Amino acid sequence: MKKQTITPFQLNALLCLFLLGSTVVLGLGLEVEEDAWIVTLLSSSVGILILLFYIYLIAKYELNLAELLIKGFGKYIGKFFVSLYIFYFLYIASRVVKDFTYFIAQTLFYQVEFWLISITFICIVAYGSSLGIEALARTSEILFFLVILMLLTIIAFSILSDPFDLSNLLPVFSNNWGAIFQSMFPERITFPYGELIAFTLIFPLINDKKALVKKTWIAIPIVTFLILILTEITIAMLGAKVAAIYTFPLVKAIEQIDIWDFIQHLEILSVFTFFFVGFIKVSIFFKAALYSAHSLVKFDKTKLILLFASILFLMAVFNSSSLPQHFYIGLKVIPEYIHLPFQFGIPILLFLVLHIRFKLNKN
Amino acid sequence: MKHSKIVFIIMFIAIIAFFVIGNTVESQLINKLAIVSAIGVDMEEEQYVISVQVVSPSSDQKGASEELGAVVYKEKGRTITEAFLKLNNSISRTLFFDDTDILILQDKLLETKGITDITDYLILNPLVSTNIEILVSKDVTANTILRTVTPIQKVSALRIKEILANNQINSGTTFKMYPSNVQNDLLNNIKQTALPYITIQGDIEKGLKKENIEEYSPSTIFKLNGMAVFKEDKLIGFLDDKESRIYSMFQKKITRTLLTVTCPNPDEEDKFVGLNVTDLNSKITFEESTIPTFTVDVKVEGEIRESQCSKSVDYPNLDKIKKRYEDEMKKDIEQLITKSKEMNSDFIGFGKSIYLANPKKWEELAKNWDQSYKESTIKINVDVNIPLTGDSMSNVSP
Repeated sequence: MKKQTITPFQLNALLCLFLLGSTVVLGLGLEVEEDAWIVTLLSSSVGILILLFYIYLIAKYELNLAELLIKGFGKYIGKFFVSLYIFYFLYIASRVVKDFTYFIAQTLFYQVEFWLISITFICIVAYGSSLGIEALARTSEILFFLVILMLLTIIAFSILSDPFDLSNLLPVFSNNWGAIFQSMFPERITFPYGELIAFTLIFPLINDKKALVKKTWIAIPIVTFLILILTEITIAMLGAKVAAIYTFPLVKAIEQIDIWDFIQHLEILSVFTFFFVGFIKVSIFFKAALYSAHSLVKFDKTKLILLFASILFLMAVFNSSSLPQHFYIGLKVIPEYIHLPFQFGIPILLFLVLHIRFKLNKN
Repeated sequence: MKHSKIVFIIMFIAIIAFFVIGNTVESQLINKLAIVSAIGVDMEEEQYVISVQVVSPSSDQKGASEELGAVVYKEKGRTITEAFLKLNNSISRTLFFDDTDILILQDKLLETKGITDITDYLILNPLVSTNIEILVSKDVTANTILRTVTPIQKVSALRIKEILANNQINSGTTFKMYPSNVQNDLLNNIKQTALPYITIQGDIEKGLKKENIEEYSPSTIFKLNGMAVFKEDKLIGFLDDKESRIYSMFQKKITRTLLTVTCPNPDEEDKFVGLNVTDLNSKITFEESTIPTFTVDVKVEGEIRESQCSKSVDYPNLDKIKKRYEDEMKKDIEQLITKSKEMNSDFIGFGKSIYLANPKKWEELAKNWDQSYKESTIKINVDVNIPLTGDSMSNVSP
């Protein structure tokens, strides 16, 4: 495989967009109402630790996750784990596609069939993946600035518009640690920060290993800052109780923007933002699945893309039948039973096994 | 398989998808929509009566066209959605709610059924925009208000919206309320909600005809008098002009208003001084003790623009006038608090001030708040500051 190059800035842009994916419209920690900022800040500091752990794992052995799994657990068990990861990546990607599908059906096209929105989205992802990771990284550079621009526009117009009421943010701290930790573990740790596991297959492609360790974590504070401001704006516009009710709170907050009866209905900005960040997120998962598959079997690259795209599409169509079910699975079932083993269980086990093997070899 | 093949396959699927999407959204093209400018909800025999005001596209807003600005349709149903569905039996186009500005609710409906059904509908329905402004219609049905012919604006919803905005900025008696504000008040239950109310002044029957705007002063006009207050989800009463002004001040929604008091001289009881308030600040502080105690601090800043008093407003006299304003304002605030206690509804937000200062304490008090609120003592401090007195300090009249 040809060694491809991604600059540190491009990697940061990829990480930012990846972390903003879904969170930007679903909101982060709004279920604890006014305390959302605590959840955002605490989970992001844990997020940095998670990211550093993944980077350490990759930088130490200079192999990607799939190769490490085969090296650590042997040919058969390792390959079994790799195939599990392929399905995990595709399944999480399909969930993001479904988020996007429901979002579009709810805000833009009320009458369009779900599968149609999914298939157009997956087409773009498949095409982007066929161009390779470099093209994706360059795209993310442009999309990063566009997303920042749109988010800043949303923030500025929200603050200027009439329903914006800072007293909605009070009380700043309701002293309810139980609810805060319940919301953080495992939901807000696994989503979005734990999902960075997909990057363990991208990190080996970066040539500058020193920059990888030194500069990559910067993405998380940037994202935290953006999400924090968006969360507080949503609460200030809607009020904490109402923000917690809505499925897509940010869109509802944007809907209230009204400046001089002239600048109204900027929902399209949130649609574009979600489209950009969702595209990067799904593409990264898709790429991660592809790279895992490469280390498993030698298979024609384009055929593999088409195969995976079809699997992704079928998963996206059948993974849930309604929005409440989709959310129930996403917030209650997945974090505990799927995210935890795949994001922390297997990597930590792998880390220990490799460590012991390394020691034994030395002796 | 080459790269070009994958592009071909994807393009093929995408083109088909574009056609299918285009076909399904075609019914929503802008020139085929009935743009709803206002919704009215009334109650008749335990059923919801929905009135929608649809903007008439053929009437030009600027030109003096003969047509009326809008058409009002009305339909009955057990639920709001059912009534909307029935509307389609008589409307030729798809109803479009994204630009709906005003929602008018009948007072009778809010007194008996409450507002919960309506806010639930607004929250759940993705078609209705969240920046719709809610009003209560007093003594008349919402349907009548939507059918009243108005001057200046051809579509009465726009007229109401303008009155509401103007009132908040210049007069300070009412302020805009959005569904999210109402829903927050209902869910938090730390402060009872309130909505602005609208009435019709003049001959109602005459206002429904086009002749209404053929005179220089229309015989029938809308009037926005103040706020209608709630106890939980039920409407319980209306505040008048003065009370609404004090109420709006406590909600920190207004900064400009007018205060009028009689002259400080004892023999000038029938003469008045007006204070144009330019800045208005209020703060409720909660002090812990066996019975809840609050301190209300009000800071008013304004300028005198009109005085009928014989004495001028220069240095020592101004302080006397200031004192009059402070006493008057104190009396008004006390009146509003007494009214609120009589109504058994804490719409001013004393409970909220406890919640913000000490959420744990509020949890204890909330269970029996109605009773504790009645027993609570409230100290009022008003501070009036008049830095400017118009273009002359001395008395202009001889």
